[in-house]
Amino acid sequence: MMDWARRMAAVALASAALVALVLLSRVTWRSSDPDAAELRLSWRIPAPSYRECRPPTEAEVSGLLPHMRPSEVCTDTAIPFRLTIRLNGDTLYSEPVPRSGPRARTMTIYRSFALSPGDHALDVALLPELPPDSGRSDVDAPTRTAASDSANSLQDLAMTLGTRVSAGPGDVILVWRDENGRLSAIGSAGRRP
Amino acid sequence: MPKRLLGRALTRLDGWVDRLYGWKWNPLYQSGALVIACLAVLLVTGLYLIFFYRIGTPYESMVRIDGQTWGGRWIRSLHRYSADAAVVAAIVHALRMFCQRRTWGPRALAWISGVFLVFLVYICGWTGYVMVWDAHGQLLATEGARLLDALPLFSEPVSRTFAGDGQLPSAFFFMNLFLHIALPVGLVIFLWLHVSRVARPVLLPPRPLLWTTVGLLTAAAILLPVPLAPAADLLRIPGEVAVDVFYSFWVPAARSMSPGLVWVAGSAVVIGLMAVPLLTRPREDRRPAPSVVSARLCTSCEQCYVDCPYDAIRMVERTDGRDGLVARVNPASCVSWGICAGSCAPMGVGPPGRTGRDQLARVREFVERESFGDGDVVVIACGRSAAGSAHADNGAPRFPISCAGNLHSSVVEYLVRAGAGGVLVVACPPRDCWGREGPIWLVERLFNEREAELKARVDRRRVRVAYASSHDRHALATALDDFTRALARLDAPAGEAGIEIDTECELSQAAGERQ
Repeated sequence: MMDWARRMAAVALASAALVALVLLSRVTWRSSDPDAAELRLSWRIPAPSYRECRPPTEAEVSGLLPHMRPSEVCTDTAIPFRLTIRLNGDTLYSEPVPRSGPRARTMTIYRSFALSPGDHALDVALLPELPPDSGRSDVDAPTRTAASDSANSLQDLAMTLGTRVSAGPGDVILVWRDENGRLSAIGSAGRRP
Repeated sequence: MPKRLLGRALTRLDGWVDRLYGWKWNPLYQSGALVIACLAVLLVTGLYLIFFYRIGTPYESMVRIDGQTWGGRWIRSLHRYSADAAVVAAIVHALRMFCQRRTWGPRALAWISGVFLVFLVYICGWTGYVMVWDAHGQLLATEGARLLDALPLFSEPVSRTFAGDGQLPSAFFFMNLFLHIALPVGLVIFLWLHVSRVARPVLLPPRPLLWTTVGLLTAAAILLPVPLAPAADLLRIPGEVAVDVFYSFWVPAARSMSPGLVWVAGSAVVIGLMAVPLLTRPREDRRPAPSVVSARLCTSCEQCYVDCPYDAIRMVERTDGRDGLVARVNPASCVSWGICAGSCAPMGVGPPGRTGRDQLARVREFVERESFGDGDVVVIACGRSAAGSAHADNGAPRFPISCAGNLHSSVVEYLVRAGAGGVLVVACPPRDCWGREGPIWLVERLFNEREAELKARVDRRRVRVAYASSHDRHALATALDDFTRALARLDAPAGEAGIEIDTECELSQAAGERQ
C-alpha cells in the first residue's frame, strides 16, 4: 500500500473508532411505552399489634427467684392488614400486607402498577383483619391493649383513600402518607408541597 | 471452535492494523496498558470534577460544571469517554488472552483478578452515572434497586427510596461518591494482583501511543461533548434515555426479565468467566512440560533467572558440593515458553525437547536434510508469526521454533557457518509475544551481547530479525525481499564442515564429570 494511502487509512480508522465510541456512549433507548403511566403506592407505618396478658401459672414461676417472678405474662400479636386497590370500580389488587423491620414492627407498602393515561376513580384501603379465632372487633378489652401509639379500635387503624386521578403519558401517580398521616395521591403535575 | 474462530478473526485484525500503524503502534497489542492509561485519565479528570460536585445538589452541580466556560464540559466528556475506552480496551485485552490460551496454569491468577478488575470498573461506572442524577442515572439507580430487592438482604424494599415521596437523602449521593472514589483503591489492589506473577510488567503504552490516545479522547470531548440529559424525575417514567452502551448494555435485557432471572443470568456469566482457567486448561497429557535445570551444566550466571518473564526461576544454594548458586524452576509459575533456553550459554535449562542442545541437534539434522545455496536465506520461524505456517515464506528453507525467545544463538551461528547466505528470524511483534519478552531478548542476544550472545565471529550482516504477526504475510514478504537484496551485495559465504559450537561450560562440565 502506498505510504500516503496507508496514512489516510490509519487516520480514517482511528477517526471511525473514535466516532463509534462517542455514538455508542449515547445511544437513545426508549425504556418504556410512550403511552404508559404508572400508579405507585409507597408509605411506611409502625405495624399495630395487640397484647394479651394473663397471670403466670405456678409452673412458670416455681423455678424463678422471687424477685424475677413477673406479675403477668403477655403475648404481642400482630394485627394483620389487607391492602385493596380499586381502579374505576374494579379490584386491581387485594393482598395481605407482610411486615418488615426488626421484630416485624413495620408495615411497608410499596407497589406499582401500569396505568393507562386518562382520568380514573381510585380507591385505596388498608384495613385491619383480626384472625377469625379472636372473635373480637376491637382491641380495647382489659386484657387486650393496643400496642400501637394512639389507636384503640380497629376502625382507627384503617387507612383509606377515594379520589379521582388524572394521569398523562409518562406520569406517575403516587399514593403516599402525607404529613397528617392520611393517604393522598399526587402526580407529576401536582408535585409535593 | 468459537475460540478458534475468534482467534483467527483477531489475528487477521492484528495483521490489518499492523499494516496500517506498524506493530509498534498497534493499539490491539497494547490493550492492557491502554486500560491503565484510560484509568489514569479518569483519575486526573475525576480529581478536577470532585472539586465542583455537590452531594446536596448533584444535578445542579453538574449543570454548573457543564456551564463552565473553559474546561468543565470538556473534562466531564473526557472523563466519560475515557471510562468507555477503558471498557473497550479491557474487552479486547480479555479476548486476546482467551484466544491465545493465556488463561490457565500460572496465568489463572491474572485472569481471575482481571475479572474482578472489570467488575470493579463496572460498579465504579455505575456509581458515576448515578452521581450525575439525570435520566440515565435514575434508570440505573431504579434498576439496581429492583435487582437488590430480589435478594433476601434488606427488610424493606430498596426501591422505595426512589418512590418519589420525598427528597432523596444526601446520604445516598454521599454513598455513591464514596464508592466512586473508594473502588479505584480496590482497582489498584487487584491490578497489583493482576501483574504480580509477571516480571517487568508493562503498565503504560509507548509514549506516542499514550499521548495519541489521550489526544484523540480530548478531541472527541471538545468536538463532541457529552450533552447533559434531563434531570432525574422520580414522578416521571424515564422515556427516551441516552444510555451508554458500554456500561448500560445490560439494562434493556434486564428490564424485560424478572430480577431473579437477571441474577441467575449474571451469576452464570460471572461463574463462566471465573471457570475459564479450568475450561481452557489442556488435558494433563497435552500440557507442555515446565523447564528443567541441569545442575551439572549450570554456571550460576543468573541469566535465566533475570530473563524469565514470569519470575519462575530462583537461584538457590547448590547441594552437589560445588560452590555458588544453581537455578531452580518453580513448575507452578513456569509457562513452558522456553525463554530460559535461549538465555543459557551452556544450554543447561529449558523445557524438555527445546533446550539449546535439543535445538542444536535439530539444526544439524536440518542442515543435512535441506540444501541451501550461497545466497539462500534460511528462515527461523516463530510458531506464532507469519512464517509459522508452512510455505508462508516463498520456498525459503524454514527452521521452525516455538518462540523467538526460545531460540539459542548457537543455532543462528550454526546456520551461518554451514553456508547459509543469511538467517532471517521471523518473530511475532514484541508486544504480542505469547511468552511476553521473547523477541526483545532475541535481539539483545543476537546484536547487543546479552548472554547467551551470538559469537563475535558470526557476520551480523547475515543475520536479521523481522516481526510479522501470523496473518501479516506482507511484512514477511517485504522483510524477506529486503534481506535478500542486502545479501546480494555481500560476498559468497564460506561454508564449514564439521562445525563445533562452543557451549561455554566445558570447565563446569568437566568438573561435573569428574565428580
